[in-house]
Amino acid sequence: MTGYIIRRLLLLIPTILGVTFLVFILVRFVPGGAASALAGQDATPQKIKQINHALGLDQPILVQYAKWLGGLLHLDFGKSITLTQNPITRDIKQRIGWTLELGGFAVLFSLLVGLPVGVLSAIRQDSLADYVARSVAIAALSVPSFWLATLLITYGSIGIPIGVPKLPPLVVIHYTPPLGREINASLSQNLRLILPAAIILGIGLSGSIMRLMRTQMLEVMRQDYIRTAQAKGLHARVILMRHALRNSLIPVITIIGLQLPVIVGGSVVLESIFSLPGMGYYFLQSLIQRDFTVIQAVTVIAAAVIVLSNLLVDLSYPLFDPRIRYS
Amino acid sequence: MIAPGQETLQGEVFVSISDRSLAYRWLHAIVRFVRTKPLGTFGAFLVLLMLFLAIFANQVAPFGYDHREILQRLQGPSARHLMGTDELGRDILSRIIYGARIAAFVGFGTVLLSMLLSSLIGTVSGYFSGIVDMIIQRIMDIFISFPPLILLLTVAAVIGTPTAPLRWGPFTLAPAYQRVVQMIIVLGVLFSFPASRIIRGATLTVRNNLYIEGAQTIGASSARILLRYILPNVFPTIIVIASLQLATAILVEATLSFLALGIPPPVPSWGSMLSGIARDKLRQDPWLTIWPGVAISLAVYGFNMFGDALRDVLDPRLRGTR
Repeated sequence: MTGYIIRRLLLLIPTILGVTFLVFILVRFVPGGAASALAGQDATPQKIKQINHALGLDQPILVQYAKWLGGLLHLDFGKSITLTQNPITRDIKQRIGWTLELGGFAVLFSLLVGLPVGVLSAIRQDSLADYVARSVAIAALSVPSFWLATLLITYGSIGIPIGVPKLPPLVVIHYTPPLGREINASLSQNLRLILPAAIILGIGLSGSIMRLMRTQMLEVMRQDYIRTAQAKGLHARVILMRHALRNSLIPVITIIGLQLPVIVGGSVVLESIFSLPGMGYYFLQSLIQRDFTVIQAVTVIAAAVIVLSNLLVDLSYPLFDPRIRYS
Repeated sequence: MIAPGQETLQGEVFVSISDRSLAYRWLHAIVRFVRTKPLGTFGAFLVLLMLFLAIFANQVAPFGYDHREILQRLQGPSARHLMGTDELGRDILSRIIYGARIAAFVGFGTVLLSMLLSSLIGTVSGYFSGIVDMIIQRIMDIFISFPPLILLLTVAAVIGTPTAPLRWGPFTLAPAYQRVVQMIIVLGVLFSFPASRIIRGATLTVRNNLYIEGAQTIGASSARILLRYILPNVFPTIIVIASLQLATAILVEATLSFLALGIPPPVPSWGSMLSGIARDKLRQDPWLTIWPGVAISLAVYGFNMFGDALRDVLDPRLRGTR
């Protein structure tokens, strides 16, 4: 087992190296470059040369890359050039909390909604409830999150009624977008700001979870040991909780790991719509302002997170299924 | 109808359905699909609707996509403008229809390129195994580790939004269509990586069959084996992945356009029709926010449903991947 871990970690290195190199090269293709973006409209070639030299951009690419890589090993991502002019590490520290909260609550919501519906769908296979649940799951995957967010913001202030048409509504959703960037808000205020975005992101994620849970439960319920448990006379709920669920959960862990790219991407869109000062919004701003040190930094962090989480997911399998052992 | 075993008037004997004509078998398959997969059929209907609108946009749309009637701006649905007008007085229905064309272009172009690339990479990687496989898979790992939206946004920002028409030989591409080509290339390449993984898996399964070994024994070249034996058997997998990726491609195009890194105005894209709205015009014109979103949702939903049903019918082993 430890051998496997070591091998995977070793494999990580060329992957991350490849990622960093790719990002580095990609970002250098910006037409005009950060220098001309900084210099402004009426920039003389002189000024651009100055800025290039000050930022160390006139050195050969590999040298720049080596320097940057060296900084990475100390978790020093450089300085933001056009955006905040602060060390990026500091910017990240201020912002990552928001994105983590957003992602965390989104996953939580998607599990809370997706798991039960998936199980129900499997237990009552091919019933009306199953068909409805499956359609809803695919709808959840298909509806663009930025549309839901836009609708919420547009109509939230006048209230969105939920209920049967022509009757008084059961619930009216009110939402007012936050004003300004409240970076230092308290946790409860944070929640109020983050939950709408998290729920919308979670809706998209829950579709996959619903479907996967259903598929897994169906497969597990066909197994012989379930039949044995039934033959033993165990109560249906006991069979469900103790046997079926535990074995169905394995790929759900995988799916959560696979959903990280979705969360990373979704956070970009949702944070900008809901004005949340997180990493996603930071990234979007840096794209607009051509701040390529930030672009590099955020991309590498995102990629590293995904690679690491995939590794963690793989390593968690033996916990759920003792038969899985890595030699 | 002829039952298996009976003689026809011409003297032929039908043993099974595979003795029937190709047209009959296709028809039979379609009827069976419609009967057993009602949801998938609904999805197929949505897909065909979108294709129809995309191809016949010029004939179906009541107005041009940039035909402005400023005096009629920001109006709700009326007899003349079935979906209302936007802030420049353009008919929303027409813009939605033309948006279907853009979405179809990007979607089908992306998937075509993605399937071409991933079939090539996946089958080669799976068939030859060994060093070739390992190298290709390591490279794939790098690209799969990238959060796709971040990579897309970076590339989109790096390339910049085209503003002037491009002349290429006898063709002149308007800025919007340059962007469409750029998106097809970038998305196609990006989507091909995870797809090649799955195709590689399918190739590994097919490779173990005895007829492959037979073909190798009689001296068939690798190229021939790949093309004539592996590819046709991997085809169902390819089709399923294609239909699911179509849904994703449309959603991604809408997201990019929403973030103003996609199709530039005035050519309508469902995503860009949603973008400026939320910030400024809020309550004045509710229809601006509803119709494009409904269009995107229906299109993506249709492709997802259809792809799902196709997968159930063609290759149920793929169930666990989404």
